[in-house]
Amino acid sequence: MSYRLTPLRIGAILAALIAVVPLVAVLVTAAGQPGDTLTAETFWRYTRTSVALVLLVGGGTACLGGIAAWLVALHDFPGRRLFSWALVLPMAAPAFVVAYGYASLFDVAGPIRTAWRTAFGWDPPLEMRSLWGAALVMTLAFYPYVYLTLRAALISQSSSLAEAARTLGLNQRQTFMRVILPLARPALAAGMALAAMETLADYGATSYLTVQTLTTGVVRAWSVFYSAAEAARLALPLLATAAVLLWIERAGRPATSETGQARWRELPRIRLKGGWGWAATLYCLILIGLGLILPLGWLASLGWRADNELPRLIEAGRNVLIVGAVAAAFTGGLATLVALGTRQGRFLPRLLSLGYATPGAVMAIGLLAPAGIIWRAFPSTVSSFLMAITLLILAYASRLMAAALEPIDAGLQRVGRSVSAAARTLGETEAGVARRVELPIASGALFTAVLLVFIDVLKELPATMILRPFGFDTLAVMADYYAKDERLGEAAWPSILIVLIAIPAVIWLTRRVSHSRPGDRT
Amino acid sequence: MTATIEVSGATRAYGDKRAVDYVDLTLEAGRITCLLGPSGCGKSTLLRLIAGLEPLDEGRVLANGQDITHLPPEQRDMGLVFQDYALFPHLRVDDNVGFGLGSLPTVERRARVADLLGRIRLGERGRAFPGELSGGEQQRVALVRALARRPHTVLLDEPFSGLDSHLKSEVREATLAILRETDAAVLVVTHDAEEAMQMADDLALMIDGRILQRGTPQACYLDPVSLEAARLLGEAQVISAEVSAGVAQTVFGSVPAPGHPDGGAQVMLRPNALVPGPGVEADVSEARFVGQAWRATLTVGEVSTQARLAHQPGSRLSVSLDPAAARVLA
Repeated sequence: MSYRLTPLRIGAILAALIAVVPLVAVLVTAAGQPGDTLTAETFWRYTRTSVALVLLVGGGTACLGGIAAWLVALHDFPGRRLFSWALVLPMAAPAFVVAYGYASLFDVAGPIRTAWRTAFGWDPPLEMRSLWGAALVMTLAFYPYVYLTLRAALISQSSSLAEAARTLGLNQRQTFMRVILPLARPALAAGMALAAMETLADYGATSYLTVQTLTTGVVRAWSVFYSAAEAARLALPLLATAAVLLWIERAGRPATSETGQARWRELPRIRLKGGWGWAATLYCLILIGLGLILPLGWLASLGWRADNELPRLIEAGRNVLIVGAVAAAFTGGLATLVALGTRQGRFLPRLLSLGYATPGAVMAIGLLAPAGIIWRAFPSTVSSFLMAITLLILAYASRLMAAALEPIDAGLQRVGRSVSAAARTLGETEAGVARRVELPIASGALFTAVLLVFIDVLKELPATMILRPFGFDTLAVMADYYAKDERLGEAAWPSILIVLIAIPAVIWLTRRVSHSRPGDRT
Repeated sequence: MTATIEVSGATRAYGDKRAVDYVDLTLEAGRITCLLGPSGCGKSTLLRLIAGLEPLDEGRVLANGQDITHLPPEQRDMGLVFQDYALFPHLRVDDNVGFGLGSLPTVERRARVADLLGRIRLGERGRAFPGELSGGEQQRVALVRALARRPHTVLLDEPFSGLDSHLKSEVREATLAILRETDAAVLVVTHDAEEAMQMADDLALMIDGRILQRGTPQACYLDPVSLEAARLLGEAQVISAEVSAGVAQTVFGSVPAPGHPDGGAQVMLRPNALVPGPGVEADVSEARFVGQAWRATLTVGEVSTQARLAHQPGSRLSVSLDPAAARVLA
């Protein structure tokens, strides 16, 4: 029964195709006729900027998120339990929202530099519309990825290794440097890889801060020059980098042999006394403040003074809720098919992960060519609006299927081989086992997956911009439009709405993840 | 319906390791066959091959002469009790037991589930979730769930290994009683020799993917085909012997060796083979209390062996060899 092509397996392969087609199409499109707008010089300039940005954000998130994880996982200080999930909250804010906030705060005419000039008589060199500014903004927006992976690695480390180190003569500091940290290093790398992927995928923040990267180049090549081939050529290094980052992130996964031990105990936490404890509290407060409260608060104050264009806001909100819900359900369904059909294989999930590591703009470019073929084949059968919406949902699905696959896969792993086998011997078919046993047990994981996709769609900008039907706004598109028009007050409303919708979901997801540990048997 | 299951030439390899290596096995309706072997010998794989949970590389599985080698597990009409019980955690006990009874009318299904739960004295716990039951209760639920469809074959994979030792024999008796009420062909996979001998009508000994010996527990115990087979079923000592004219002569006494060629041979002794009595004088060098009995090391000349005897170390003892507990090995 293991190797036959069952209906489930065929479904899994078809679902995976949806994620793979755009990637292949990018390669094919890139080989199309050369345009004349993209010079080698421009290409290398974009590439250099992307590389610099990734290195800066990687390093920055490793420091900020790493320290946060180290504090929360291994120490006790006032507010630790609250911070353990609150530190993730900046994930609810898309990087472009943070960028609006900081660009405005540190504008020449903004409050900080104005106050500085009044106080000291000279203008501080704090320009957010620069490589360094973009790096700062994205570090603040993406540090939760490092924080989450590293904290998970630290709290899932069994205390026995650290205890062994202590009995072998190492003190607390030496134990951390020589045992705990080396064991968690792959997780740190994995978190940095995730932050780097997000940095490469970003269009909204970088373009607003006038930093020209490969990704902004991809969007520009399409939306200004209408050259899919050029956009695809700019996308090639992004695809290659995505593959490398993905490999780093995979290598950082804990080996299965390490978890699931019967005698797992948490690492003991060190109580930080007095001033040190309050310093830790302050650090966490500042991180959340800088990543979420300061930029959002400033935006809110700008929005308060501006018109809110309520009808447009409601329409954009309704649009993204509907598209998000459809995309989440569709993607969750496809990911479920893949998860059920590839219980033994690892190849399809790898391919899907490549889709996740690929920037949304690249995915959108990859969908243009196959769409053109379908379009020419059936010119008048579908309305252009439906076609565009379908493409958009396919783009979301192909990019986010891997994100949905992960929790579903983990949920199904918990079912246990013998439980599924028991259902087979009790007369159920493979599909029947999925329906009656595996999916009900993994239903929580399914919900997690759908929620993850929904949040990502809510925050998505570049693919939406490229593929959306004419006149179809989402909250992110609306925010981007007003921000580019230097109407930050109007941009503030959709931005804040995104964060408000995302925050409860982020909290729910974080608490769920932090409650599942290797020792659990639920 | 009753069935005879015939496995012939079954082979299953993982990489270049043959977990099951050209195995023949027959399960008879109404009889309990125990498959005994050390862990990793392939006995659980063989059970999964029979259940259809694992494909065969070579060989066939027949049920009443019909080839079922390529039949998916849900169509084989076999019940399986898993080592970890594999109860569905999201379903209540009665829904677990009734899981495979979807084709029955509701009333009949309820009646059968109630009857089964009553037989394992869990009639009141039908609405509980599996996680709320004790280990022994879970084991019983797993057993009746496997029996609920009245399968012609019941396969049990180390069914008692998860239980505390003081519970084991009690649960084993109860399981036996329930299995005896069915006409099913039963296969029990275990690594516990005592368990296998207590339960089995027929015993099959498996090592390294191959079946070494088949027969009744008594025959296997007393007439092992090899030292390996002998040691699977209990303690065994080996001493050298000299065969002439169908009799093997050891320093402790002689053992009949019909059909063996003259010359050097090895004799397997069970711990009860040496008994006090007129015979040879042996030196007792060590005696230990090992639970239910004593074990002493006896030496005659150059040859030492251990026997289930209590005696003062450092003294001498006259022992004789009981041929019923000794065999000449081929």
